[in-house]
Amino acid sequence: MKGLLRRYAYGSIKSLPFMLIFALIFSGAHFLMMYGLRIFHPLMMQAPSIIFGILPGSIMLQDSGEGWNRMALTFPITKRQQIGAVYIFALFTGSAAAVLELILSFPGMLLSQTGTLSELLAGLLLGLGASLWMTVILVPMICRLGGQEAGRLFIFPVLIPPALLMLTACFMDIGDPDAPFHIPFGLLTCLCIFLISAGLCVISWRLSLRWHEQYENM
Amino acid sequence: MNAIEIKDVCKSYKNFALDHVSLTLPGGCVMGLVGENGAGKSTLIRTMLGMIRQGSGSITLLGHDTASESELVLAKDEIGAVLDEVGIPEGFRAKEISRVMDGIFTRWHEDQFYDYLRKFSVPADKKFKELSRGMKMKLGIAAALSHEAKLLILDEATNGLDPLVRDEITDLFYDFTRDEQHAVLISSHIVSDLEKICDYITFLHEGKVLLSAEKDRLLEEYCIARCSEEEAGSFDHEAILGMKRSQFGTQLLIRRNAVPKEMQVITPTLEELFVFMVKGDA
Repeated sequence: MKGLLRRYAYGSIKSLPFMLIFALIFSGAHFLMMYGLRIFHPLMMQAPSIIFGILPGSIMLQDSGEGWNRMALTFPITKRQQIGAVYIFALFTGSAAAVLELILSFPGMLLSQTGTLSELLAGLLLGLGASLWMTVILVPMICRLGGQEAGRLFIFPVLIPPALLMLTACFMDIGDPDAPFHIPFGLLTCLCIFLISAGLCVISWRLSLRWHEQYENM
Repeated sequence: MNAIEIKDVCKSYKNFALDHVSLTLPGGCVMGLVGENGAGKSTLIRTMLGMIRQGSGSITLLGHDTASESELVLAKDEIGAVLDEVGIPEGFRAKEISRVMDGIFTRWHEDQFYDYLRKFSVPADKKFKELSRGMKMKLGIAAALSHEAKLLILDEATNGLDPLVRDEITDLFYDFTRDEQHAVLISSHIVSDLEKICDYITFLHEGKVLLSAEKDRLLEEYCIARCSEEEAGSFDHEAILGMKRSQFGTQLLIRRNAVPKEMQVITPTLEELFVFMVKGDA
């Protein structure tokens, strides 16, 4: 298991520059939309989490294409550990992304003089919850369809959250433009969102495990 | 102790089945698993390694019954497996591979890994994707040998490599099996490669074991006799393993003791043995 987590860690280090660039682009777009276009969507702050949430699924997909997933089956690890490692890594990534998200939105919070401790905590929970969404969808998809098929469909689940954010930001009146970094949900709601995401993650893990054990087209 | 004991293993797919496969590989030996493409070599190896579920029968690797997941994990800790494609992530260099393997195998030896890389002239500073196929394969073998593996399993790993690399790998197997606790199972459809290194040979055809025996005993026991159709008919049918008819006469793969001493015979190669058994009409 330690070796698998190291593999994910090396993979994420290699992908980190791209992920950071994406996260910065989204944060920049967020600022631009708020102050330039006066279009505001509080959940845009969650974009880095969602972007980082793609990482476990994308590394797994890459591993499938490069034969690592197959090679790993010759190692002294069980299929349960193999799938478990992806979800543990997803939690690590999500936590890192949620912290990064707070760091990125901190200047904005200072500028708009918002951001209480409970709001920070709410933001952290919301970020962590949002980062799991991609893993919840992508990992079972890869386990069910196999790398090749999942690779062809990968772009669709990846595009859904940003597309929804953009669409709702453009066409709906969400949030308060005068308090742009104010998280529109209370701590309890964010905790519920996080718990729902965690619950979905458990269901996703069970499905992935079942499909990974059944998948024999190697 | 036997390195591999397979008894009556079956595994069914829609268009293919492993049919009551049994074989035994003693320690200190090299076994060649020979079969045409689609004969079931890879399916058998993947079943052994628990990569695919076993239908029925029993598999014991290095004394561990693989039916139990925990035993299979213990066995795999002592197995070095190299499949037809080495699946190391493309962006990895030797250092990263070693760190990952150190977290996977309980007895990983980084020094040994680098020694093998030097021995094979594999550059440690290059990314995996920058290596040639031969280099990639050698790196895979180096990784398979650097964790005190007692059993090496290679699935079509030497196919597509140039003769020099294949020769290097062959030498390595000689060294590896000098230790009586070590064993190698190598599958290939290039029979000439296996002829040089194998102590045991198993012919697999359409999911069935045609024969599994000591190579030298096989080559001593059987011969190819060239004769006329009438002469062929006079031999004990039970002794004939395969027959080929052509306009120039009949060729028989037959037990030596069933052939009259005065008759000229030739010792078959493994390839001829295999072809006779698969294609010859006995």
